[in-house]
Amino acid sequence: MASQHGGQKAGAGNPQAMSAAVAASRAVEADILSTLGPMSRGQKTCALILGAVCGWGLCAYIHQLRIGLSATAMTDYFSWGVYIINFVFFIGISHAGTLVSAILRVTGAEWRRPITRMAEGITVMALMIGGPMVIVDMGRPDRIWHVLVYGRLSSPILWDLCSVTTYLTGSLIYLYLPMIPDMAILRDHPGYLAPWRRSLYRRLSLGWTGTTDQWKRLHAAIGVMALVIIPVAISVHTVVSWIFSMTLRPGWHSTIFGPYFVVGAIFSGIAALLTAMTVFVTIFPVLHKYITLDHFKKLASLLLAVNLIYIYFTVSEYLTMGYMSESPDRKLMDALFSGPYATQFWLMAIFGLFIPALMLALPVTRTMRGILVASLLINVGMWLKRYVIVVPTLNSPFMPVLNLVHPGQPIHYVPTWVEWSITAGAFAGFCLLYLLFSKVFPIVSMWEVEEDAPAAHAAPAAGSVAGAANLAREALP
Amino acid sequence: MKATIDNRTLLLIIPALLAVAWGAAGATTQETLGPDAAKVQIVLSSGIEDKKPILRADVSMDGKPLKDVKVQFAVKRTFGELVLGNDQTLDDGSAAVAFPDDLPGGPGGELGIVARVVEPERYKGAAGQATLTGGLAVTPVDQPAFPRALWAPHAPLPLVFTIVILLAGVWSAYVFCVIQIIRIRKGDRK
Repeated sequence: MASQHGGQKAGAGNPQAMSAAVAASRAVEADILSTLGPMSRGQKTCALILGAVCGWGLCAYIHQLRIGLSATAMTDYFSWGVYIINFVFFIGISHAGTLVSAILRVTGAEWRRPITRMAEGITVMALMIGGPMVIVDMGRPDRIWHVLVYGRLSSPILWDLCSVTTYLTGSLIYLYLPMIPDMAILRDHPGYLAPWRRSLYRRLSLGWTGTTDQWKRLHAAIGVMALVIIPVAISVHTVVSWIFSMTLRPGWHSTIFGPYFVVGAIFSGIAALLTAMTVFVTIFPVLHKYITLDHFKKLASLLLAVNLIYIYFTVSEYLTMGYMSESPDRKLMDALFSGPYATQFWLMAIFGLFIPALMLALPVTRTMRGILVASLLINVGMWLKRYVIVVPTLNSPFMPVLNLVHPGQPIHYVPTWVEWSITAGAFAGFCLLYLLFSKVFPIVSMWEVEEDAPAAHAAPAAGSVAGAANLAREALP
Repeated sequence: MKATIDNRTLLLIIPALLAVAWGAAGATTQETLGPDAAKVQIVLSSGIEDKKPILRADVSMDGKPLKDVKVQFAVKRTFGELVLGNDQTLDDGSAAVAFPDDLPGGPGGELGIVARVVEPERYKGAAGQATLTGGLAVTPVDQPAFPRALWAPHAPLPLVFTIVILLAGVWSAYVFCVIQIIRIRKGDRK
């Protein structure tokens, strides 16, 4: 095993401390590797249900391909619907990896170590599901080629394509880099592993032996990616917001949409991560050793801070719009506050923003359960927020509405079964991908946790934060 | 026997399903032709009648002229067809409409003319087309119609440079990381 080589070099420093460090490393590895065992009955049932929902979503998509976008409730007025809402939502939660992993890594927050892999996983899975939502919305998937060939560089749509592709590529690299030492640990695992697993880990470990040169290169690459991925992530959601704000429509044409969307993305990203953390410590109780209430509380504090900033942006946005009271804005605000979209708006505001803020602030609800409830409310609230951004504005065009189907009647957007099925399939696909990822790869970064283990700090021979576990890796057979 | 689907089979099934769905969708959009439409011949020509330019279509089947057939004349435009008018064929199988003299055409005034049978149902959909001169001669202009601007087809150069520099910077970082990954792998082989 990559980290077990340390036993040979332990004698060079303090033998007792080194053996303690190696023992601690082995304990960490044993705990985390236990999560990769065969799926339990409950996990299999869960995977089957998710797979079935995913399959149903795929069938609905094939139906949409067959008869076109008439299978949806989208019309010339509602050119965007739940697909774009899902796209913005998934791009939003993809910011979990950026904040928790990259920002906390750059700022040297050591407590992030057990949760970085989960966060990076959310980023990749969310982008893999959210990105294609735009293609689903286009109706004709082959026309994505037209965007590439005929797309105009001055169009935010093309910027979006570039930034999402760049972000997905960067996130994949950023997820993979810290996994290399863990792949080596799995490759050298003495227990039984299925041949395909052994082969996969061998290929992904790149012949990692933990030499000083390899560590140097790995740290350099992770450092560069941590720095680069932050502006890339910010640019992605800024560009998504520009698609709205560079359109002259009430409720969209706003200069604060860029930061508003970025904060919203980080907000929903942290909430998604907290939800994932709760699910994993419930499924794998052994992870309680590494993901403690302290981690939940620290992330909850971050979530509360971002929640308050988001409330500030929301109030600022609607206050300035309402103060000017231009007639199209007035119409939109009436629709939101007391009209056909009041239910969604107030549900979002009360249950998605204010109640979670209270729950995260009050000591009595800052428990693991309370934080989970607040995170779930935030996730649902942020989906509703995207609905409130997309649909009511499309229902309030500057030009008078010409309803040819029901003359004189107002227009409505009620998603069809096809749209709901594809949406359910997308969410199930995200959960299924994440579940499979957690069964194939360690959901907690072993080497990063080992580096931060108390025994590692206690080894004076190591002479660094990395401690004895790091020294252990440097030894070659 | 294991009832499982491996990845390779899935890779074959999904495109096949999509192709079937696509074919079915395409089949529903095809225009229906009359039973004898394929046998009908339409010959288009231009001429002068009462000192005015006309478009003429001679409709026949098996070499015999067809009378009382309603023919629609149209000119091809960039995004569809512009209908010029309808006429009923005479005993000699000819139908004619006025040929407008103000339609922009190619460099030599060429226009793509289409004549299509509208009635009766038996011949419906039969069509003939020809390129005839008679439109206004329009020479394509080489210089771009718009300056570089955010609203124009070509973006302003500062925007192009900004996007290229930003993307190049980020992708260079990715390349750096990929090089590190390759060197980590090579380091093992030394």
